[in-house]
Amino acid sequence: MDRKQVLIVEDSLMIRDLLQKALEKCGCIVCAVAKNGKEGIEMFKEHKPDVVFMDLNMPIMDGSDAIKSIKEISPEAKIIVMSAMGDDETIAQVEAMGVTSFIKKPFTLHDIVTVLAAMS
Amino acid sequence: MNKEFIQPFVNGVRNVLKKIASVDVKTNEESFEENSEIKSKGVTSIISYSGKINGRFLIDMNSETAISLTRRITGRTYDTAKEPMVLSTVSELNNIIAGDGLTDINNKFSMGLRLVPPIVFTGDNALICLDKIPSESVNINTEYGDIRINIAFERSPEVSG
Repeated sequence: MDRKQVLIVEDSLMIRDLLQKALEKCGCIVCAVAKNGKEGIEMFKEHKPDVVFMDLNMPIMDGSDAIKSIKEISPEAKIIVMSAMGDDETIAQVEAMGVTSFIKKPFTLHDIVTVLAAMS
Repeated sequence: MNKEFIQPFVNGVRNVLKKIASVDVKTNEESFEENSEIKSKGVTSIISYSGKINGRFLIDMNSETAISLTRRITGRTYDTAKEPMVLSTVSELNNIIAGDGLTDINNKFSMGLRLVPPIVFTGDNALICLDKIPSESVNINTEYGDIRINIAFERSPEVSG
């Protein structure tokens, strides 16, 4: 099985660290890490990852704006949204963006395994 | 302040610490007014939210508790609470706990509340001057030390949901 190339877009150092470890345990390769949506778009253009793990609430450029830009560049991009907010309105907004999946923080290794398995 | 807007944050602390760090919390769940200024225990993070009303959520703990929780979550050791990973952990705990509480409030009362990125700072006994809006604190005990949370809403939300 091909190892998925993953881009992480997340402002929290702690979440970036935990997520990278979890993804590597799942056999993924973290090809790039970005701290906000603006950096995330640049990294997406440069690395063309198989999957993007995208936080929503970030400084400089939030996840929603970054998702719109990435979808313009590559409508088929697979994006998994991570957010501390999991209310009905947030989930509806995220789904309307055409993302692949949604994970509410905090997440476990099992959550990551589940969401990656659903993509296969 | 309407207690229905405090309990979701207390539940948030319980849910988040259990899931992310396997830590159980104890609290009498009694809130007390703390409206003007708060003396920091050592590491404090504040996050604001807005929607049909505005407010903020504060989490405060001493340096040893911040270091211990970060070690528990990341599996690494730290010398001081000023290390970036410790500050990031307290900041993100604030973000996730607030998100958990607001998720519950939004689903129950359709408040449309949204978070902005949190800030975090250190300083034993630093005096935190709060906005002049009604706020209440709750003390929470963990095996790694005590945590204080403070919840503020610009005005007491009316329950309509």
